[in-house]
Amino acid sequence: MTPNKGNDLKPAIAIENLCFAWRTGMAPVLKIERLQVPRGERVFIEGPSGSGKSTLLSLVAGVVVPQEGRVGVNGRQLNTMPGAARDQFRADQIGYIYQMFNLIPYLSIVENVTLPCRFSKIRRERAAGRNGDLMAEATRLLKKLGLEASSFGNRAVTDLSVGQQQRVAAARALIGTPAIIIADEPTSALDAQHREAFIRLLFQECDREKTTLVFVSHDTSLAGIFDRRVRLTAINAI
Amino acid sequence: MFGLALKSMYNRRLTTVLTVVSIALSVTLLLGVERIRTEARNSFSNTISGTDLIVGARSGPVQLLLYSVFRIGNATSNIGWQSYQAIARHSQVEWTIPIALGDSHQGYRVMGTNSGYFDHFRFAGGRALELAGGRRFESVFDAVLGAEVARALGYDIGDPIIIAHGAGKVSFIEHDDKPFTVVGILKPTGTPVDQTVHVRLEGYEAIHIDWKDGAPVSGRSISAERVLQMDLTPRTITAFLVGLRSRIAAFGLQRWINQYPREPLLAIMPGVALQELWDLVGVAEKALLAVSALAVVVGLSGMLVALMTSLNERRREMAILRSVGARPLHVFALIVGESALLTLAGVILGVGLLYGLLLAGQPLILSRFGLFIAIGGLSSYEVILTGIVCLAGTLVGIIPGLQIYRYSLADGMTIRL
Repeated sequence: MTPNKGNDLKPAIAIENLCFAWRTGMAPVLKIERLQVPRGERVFIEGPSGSGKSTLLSLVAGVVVPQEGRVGVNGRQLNTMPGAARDQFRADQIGYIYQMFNLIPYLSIVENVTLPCRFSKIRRERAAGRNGDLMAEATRLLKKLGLEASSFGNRAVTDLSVGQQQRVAAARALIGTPAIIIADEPTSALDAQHREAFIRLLFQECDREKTTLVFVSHDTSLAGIFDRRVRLTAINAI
Repeated sequence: MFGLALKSMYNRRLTTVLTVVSIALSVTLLLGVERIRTEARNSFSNTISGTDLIVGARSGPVQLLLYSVFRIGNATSNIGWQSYQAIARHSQVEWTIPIALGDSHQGYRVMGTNSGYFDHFRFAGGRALELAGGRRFESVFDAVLGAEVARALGYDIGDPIIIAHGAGKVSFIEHDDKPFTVVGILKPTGTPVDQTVHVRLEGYEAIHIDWKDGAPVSGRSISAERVLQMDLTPRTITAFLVGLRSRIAAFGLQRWINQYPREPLLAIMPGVALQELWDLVGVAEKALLAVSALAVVVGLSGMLVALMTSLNERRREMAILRSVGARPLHVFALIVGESALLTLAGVILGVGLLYGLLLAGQPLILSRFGLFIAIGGLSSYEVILTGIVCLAGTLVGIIPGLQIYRYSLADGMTIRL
């Protein structure tokens, strides 16, 4: 499933004439004529609460499909894919970071990081390939993000601070080098000082693999360090 | 997915353990009721064997069966010695075992009979009575104890015992002027024989010879030495067992006895009377089984409630799983798999509990009720019952499974708390 040459030229995200309502018959919440994100770009999408940011991310992740229009991710048309294929596509190509409560409480830190590898053979092989085994890759990523395996040892994920939890979540999104990282207000629970440090770490890891980063927030103070800034209210016709 | 389900359950271990225990208890109850039912039937069926007819005073067939063989309840009246002699001499009759009941020793029934009892009585598909020690009774005041009587009361050969009048555990009148001596102890049979003190009919007659109308006649006491000189042929007996030369004659002889002109008698075939007894208790058995089946329903409902209440806090968990590529079907399987695992664990624990209880309760049930509960593997019916419970438990999981499936479709990538 390595993307072929033709696909490489296509943008990471290509949205055209999209119209989406949560249920048919309900008023649409998103209407976007055109949105393109080139590969490797770090894009900041801003908008107030309730402006449809999370909905847009659900569409890009292929959890939901639009009633009208096209959603292309890495050259694949998500709107025509069957549900199971979209789930597999998401497992293979997308790393997702929530604003908080990212971790599954009953799994260890390393198990949380390697979770996507349970659902994606591609990411499992890519992750294991670099260091020979998943554990080592998870530990490497955590270390890169400033979490020394020796210091947290076997601590339960619920014992970690919010900042540490978000870094574990970032490691999970990054493992197996997915094509796109989607971050849904991942810094909203962090204080200003940790916020920027977290984003810089995220940038570092994305740069290494030329990973596209879609970062959503209502906090515009962060927008300056991104390649591009998109106002959702400006492109959404609703 | 299986590993995830296990870890998730471990995370909620208190609820998990409580759910498993409640299912286990209901399964134990269900299987226990079923086990007691079949074992009671087996035990009853094993109590008497090779006897073609039981004859007693006219009453109900079930009542006659119960008091003559199972030592449950009492005879309403006795039958005359003359009638017994006449029937015993019938050309079709091969052997008879007379039975006199009514007295007891520390709550254990005392049965008067003759040596034919040791020769002809059979139980559990043809097994004969065997002595564990000592000998059969020979003289008037000899007693042969059932295994449980000797064990429970700690008697040995040569010990004296006093017989009390009446069948109750506490008796105010004792035949203490005429003590008996233990001369033999029977091997365990797993039947009411184990709970019985056996003496000769003459012994029964001897302790009542100075009695009239169920009470000792004052001033007319006869000593144990003097009584041996007297004629101790019993005047009445309670019932007798009949073995025939040919089983085909049973119907004819039964009719003859039931129409016996000199005395109202009743002859029953043990198998037929036993069937009548089953018909009688069948309703109660069905009710018991229904109640225990309901207990299983309650147990599974408990699991359903536990799963449903866990769903809201697990919506977040499911959204995370969805975000890393789990399909809605995975999420559904996680919940249904969990309920299947819970039920399976409950069934296994329940079966373990059942065997633990059987092992612990077996001697108690034997000594209290004279029922021998054999401990064997699960019968095919019991396997089917546990299979139904497992299936029902898995099906119950579909309800929360569908709910979370719907959540995971509707929530998308948003985390709702």
